[in-house]
Amino acid sequence: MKKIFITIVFFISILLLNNSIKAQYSDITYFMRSTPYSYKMNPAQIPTSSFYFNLPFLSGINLDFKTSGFSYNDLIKRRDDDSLYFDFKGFYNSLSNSNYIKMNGNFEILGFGFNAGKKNYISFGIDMNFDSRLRFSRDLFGFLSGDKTFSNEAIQVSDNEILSLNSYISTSIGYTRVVNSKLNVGLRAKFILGLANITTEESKLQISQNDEGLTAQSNFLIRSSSMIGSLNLPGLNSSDSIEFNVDSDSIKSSIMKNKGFGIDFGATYKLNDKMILSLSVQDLGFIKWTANTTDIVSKNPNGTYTFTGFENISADSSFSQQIEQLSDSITNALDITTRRGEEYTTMLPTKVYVGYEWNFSKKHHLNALYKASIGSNYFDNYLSVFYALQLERYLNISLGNTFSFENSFKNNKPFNPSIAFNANLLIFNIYFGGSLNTSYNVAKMTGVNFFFGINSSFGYNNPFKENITEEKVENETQIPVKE
Amino acid sequence: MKKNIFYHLIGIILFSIFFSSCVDEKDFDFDRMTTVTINPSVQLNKLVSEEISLNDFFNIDSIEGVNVTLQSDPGGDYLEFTYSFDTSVIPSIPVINVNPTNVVLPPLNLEGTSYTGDFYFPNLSQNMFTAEVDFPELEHGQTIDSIYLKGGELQINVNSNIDYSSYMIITCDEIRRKDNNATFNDTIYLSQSKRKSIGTNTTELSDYKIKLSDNKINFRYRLHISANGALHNYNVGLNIAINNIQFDAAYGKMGKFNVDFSDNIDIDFFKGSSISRFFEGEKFNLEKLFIDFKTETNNGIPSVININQFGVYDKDNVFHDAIVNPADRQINVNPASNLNSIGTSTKRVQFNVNLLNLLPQKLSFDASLALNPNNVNCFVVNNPYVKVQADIHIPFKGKLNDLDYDVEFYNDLYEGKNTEDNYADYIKEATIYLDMTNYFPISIGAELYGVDTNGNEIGKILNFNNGTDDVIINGANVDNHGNVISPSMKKTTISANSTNVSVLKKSKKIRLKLKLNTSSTNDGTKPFIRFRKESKIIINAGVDLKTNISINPFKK
Repeated sequence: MKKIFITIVFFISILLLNNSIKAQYSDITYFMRSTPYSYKMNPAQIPTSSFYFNLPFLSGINLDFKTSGFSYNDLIKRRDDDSLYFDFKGFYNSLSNSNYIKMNGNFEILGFGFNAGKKNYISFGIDMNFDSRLRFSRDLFGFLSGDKTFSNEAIQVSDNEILSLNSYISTSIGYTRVVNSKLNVGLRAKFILGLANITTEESKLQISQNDEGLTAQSNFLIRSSSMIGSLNLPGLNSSDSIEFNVDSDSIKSSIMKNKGFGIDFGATYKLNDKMILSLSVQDLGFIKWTANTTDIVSKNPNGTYTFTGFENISADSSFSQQIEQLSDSITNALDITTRRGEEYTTMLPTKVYVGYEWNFSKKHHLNALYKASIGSNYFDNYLSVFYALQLERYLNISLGNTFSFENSFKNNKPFNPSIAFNANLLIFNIYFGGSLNTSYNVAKMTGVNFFFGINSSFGYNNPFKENITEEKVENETQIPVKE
Repeated sequence: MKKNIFYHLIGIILFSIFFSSCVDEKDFDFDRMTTVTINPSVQLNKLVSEEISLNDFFNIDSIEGVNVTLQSDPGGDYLEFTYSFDTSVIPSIPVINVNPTNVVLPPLNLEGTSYTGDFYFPNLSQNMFTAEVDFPELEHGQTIDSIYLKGGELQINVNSNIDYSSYMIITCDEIRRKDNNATFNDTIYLSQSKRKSIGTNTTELSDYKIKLSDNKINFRYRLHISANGALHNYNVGLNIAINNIQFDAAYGKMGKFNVDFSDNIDIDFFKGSSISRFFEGEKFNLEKLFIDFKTETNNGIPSVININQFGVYDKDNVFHDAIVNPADRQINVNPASNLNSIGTSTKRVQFNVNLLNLLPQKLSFDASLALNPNNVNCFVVNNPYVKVQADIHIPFKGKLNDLDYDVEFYNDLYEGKNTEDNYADYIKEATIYLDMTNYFPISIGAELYGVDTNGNEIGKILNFNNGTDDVIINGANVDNHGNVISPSMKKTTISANSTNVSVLKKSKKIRLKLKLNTSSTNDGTKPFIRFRKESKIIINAGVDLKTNISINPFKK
C-alpha cells in the first residue's frame, strides 16, 4: 500500500504540474546503471554489466536543446480562430535579464569496460562533445514591443557573453575500485583534443541616454580557435567580404594543438542494504586552445559614440545626409575586426553530483540527485527526484522531475519531468529517454532532451546485492553478482 | 503479477503521453500567420542640437558690397553695415596756345662805317632790347599768374643780313628754371652766308616755369657782331614762338564754372539678401541712417557740390528723396593745399531711415560741382579730379514689431518613400521637446507647417503649447540702450496629434514660421536693439516617436 501511495503521488505531481515545468536534463540516467551515462556521471558507479562494449556512434547519442525559459508559444501565439501572430510584448515579458538558447550534444564514438578482478573495473571511451550557447538581450524585444525606450534606462543590445561554442573529442580511461563492502571510488582521466571554440570574453553593446545625448558604447573581445582555419572579418566599412580561411595543410599540424586534460572522480557509499549515497565530480579540466586562434575585437575598445542631435540643419543639408554621417560615425566608433589571437585556456563545464538511491521495494527505487553545474559565469543547481521501476537486468523505467535553480538560485524553475527506458535483450542493451520543458506541448516547451543508445553488455551486477562472501574471502571482488 | 502488469501499463501510458501528445500542428501552421503591428518607441533627448547665430540668419559676412563693422557709442557696441559707392568728376583744364610773336629790331644803319672788334647792339652801356609776347586769354575768365610746365617748346628765330659772324643773347625773367629759379638765357648764333645770316634755337620747356607779368612774357635781347672792317646797313628780325605748352599746374584766377554729374547705382543688398525681408513691411525699424560724403581732389580749386537730387527708387520705380535737411545738399570740397597734395573733406548727412523699408532697388543722384565759386586765386593741375565717395551707414540698431520670418528645411526622413501609405506605416505618434536658450533680444513665436512638393502648406505639423500660445521663447533681457543683459530660457513640449502626424508624413518640407519681436526693458519701453554677430539661439530638440511597424515574415 505504501508503495502504491508513493507511486501515485509521484505520478500525480508530474501530471498536475506539467504546464509549468521547465528545464530538462538527462540526469535521470545517473541512476540507470545499465546505461553508459550513469558510469560517465560517476566513475565510482560500476556498470551493472561485467563487460560492455559501446558501438561506434550507436551507443550514445545525447542531444539537448534548451532555452533560458521562453518557449515558441511565448513569441508566436494562436488565436481562437487558429490564426497565428507574433506577440513581442508577451515574449518580452517571458524573458529574463539573461536569455539564451543553447544546444549540447554528446556522441559516443567507442567505449568498453570490464571487471578486472573482483574489486576493479576498467573502462575506455572516446566521445565527441559540443555545446553552444547564444545569449541575447531582453531589451531588444522590449524595444520592439514598445515597453523599452532609450529614455528610461540603458538598452543592452548585447551583454557580456553573446556566443560560446565548444567542441572537442575526449579520450578517457576509467578505473573503479571497490574499497570495501560499502565504499566504491572511481577516477577517469580524459585526454582532450579541441576541435573548435568560441569564447566571449566581452561583448558589450549598450545604448544609453543622458543629458549629453544618446550614447552607444561597445567592446568586443571574442576569442576563437579552430582546427581547420580562421575567420577574417575586415570590418563593417570594408569592401572586403567576411571569409573563413581554410588551410588544408595546416589541419594536420593543428589537429593536436588544442590539447586539454580532465578528470572525473567519484565515490559511492552503501548506507545499508536499501540505500546508496554517491558523490562525483565530472569534467574537472581544461582545454588550451592554440590552433588558428583568432580574436574578434573592437577596433576601438570601449569605443563610444554620442549622438548629440542633428546640427546645422538648413535648406542646404538634409536629415538623410546627416543620418549618413551619423551612420559612418557610429561604424567608425563601434566597428569590429579580427586579429591573430593568442593562445587561451577554457575550463570544462564541471558538474558535481550528489546522489541518493533508495530501493524502497524489491523492484522500486526512489532516487534523489543534486547537481551543481559550474562554469565561468554561471553556477546552476539542480535537484531531482526520480522513481525507477527496475526489473532486474531486463527492464528499467524511470520517471522524475528536476528542480532547477540557475545562476546561484536566482532563477528558479521548479519542475522538469523526465523519463527513461532501458531494456536488456540478451547481449543488446537498449536505452532511450528524454525530458521536456514546461509542457508536453512542443509549442510551449522551453527545451528538450533526447538520448538513445545500444550497446552490448554481459552480466548483471546489482549494486544493492550484499556480497555475502566478502568477510570470508578477502580477495574476492565486492562487485555484486547477478541474482 | 497483477501489480506488475499495473506498473508496466502505467509506464507505457506515460511514455505515450510523453512522446506522442506533444505536437499540435496548428501551432506551426505558418500559412495562417497574420500580420501584427508593433510600436517601438524611440525617445531621443537630443534629436537636434543647433546654435543659430545672427550670421546664420542673415549670412552677414557674405553680403556682397557691404562691409560689416563693430561700432561703439556711449550706449555700447553695435554692428554697422556700410555700403559705399563713389564717383569722380574730372574738371576740364585750360588749353594754352601762345601765338608766335615777330619782333623787328630797329635798323642798324652802319653803311659807310668801319669797325674792327665786338660790336653790340644795343651798346653794352644800354639796356637790352625788350620784346613782349602776349599770353593768351583763357576760357571762363581764367587768368594765369604762373604756370609750371611739363612740356612745350620755346623757339626763337633770328634772321639778318649781317655779313660778319654774329649772335644774339636773349634772356627772359618770366621764364625760369624750376629747379633753381635761374632766368632763361639763350645765345643764338647766326650762320653767315653772303649777307644773310640765320639762327634758330629751340628750348624744351619742361624744366621751366613761367611767371607772367600782366599776362605778358618779356624777352630781352642784345645782338653781337664780330666786325672786321666796313659795316653796312643791317636789318635784324626776331621771331619768338611757344608751342605745345603742357603744364603740371597753373596758378591764377581759374575762373568759376560748374560740372554736372549724376548716376544710378543698383543696390544688390536689398535684392537678394535675406536681410531685406526684415526691412519689408515696416516691421523692422532702424534707429538712424546716414551717409558720409567724402571728397578728394588734387586740384587747388575750391569747389562745392550741390546735390540736386539724392534718393532711391523703390520696387515700383518711384523715386524717394533721402536728404532730410536742405542744408545737407551742399558739400564743400576742400582743395589741395599745394601741388602734389590731396584735399579732402567729409560731410555726414542724415538720411530718411524709413527709406529702407521701401527695399530700395536703386540709388540715384544728380549733382553739380561748382568750381571756384568765389573766383579766388588757386591752381589747377594737369589731371584734375574731384572724387566723391558716399558711405551709407546703417547702424544695426532696430526694433522688430511682429516680424514674420519663414525658414524651410527638408523633411526627408521619408526619402525614397514617395507614397503617403509608406509614410503612414511607420509613425504613430510624435512629440517634440524644445529646450531653447535665447541670446537674441527677440521673442520668437513659431508655427510649423508641412509643405508638399509644390510648396503648398498642407497643414500644421505641430501645435505649440497646445495651440494656445505660439510664443515659444521670450527675447533676451535688454537694458535701456538695447544691450543684451541675459538670455531667456524656456522649455516647451510640443505634441502632435494624429492629424498633425498625418501632415508630417505627407510633407516634403517643413516650414517654420517665426514671429519675431524685439525685447522691451523692464519698464516696458522698447529700445532700439543693438544686434551683435555673436547673438545666438540655442535649440535642443528631443523627440518621442512611436512607430508603427507591421510584421509578417511568412506573408507571401
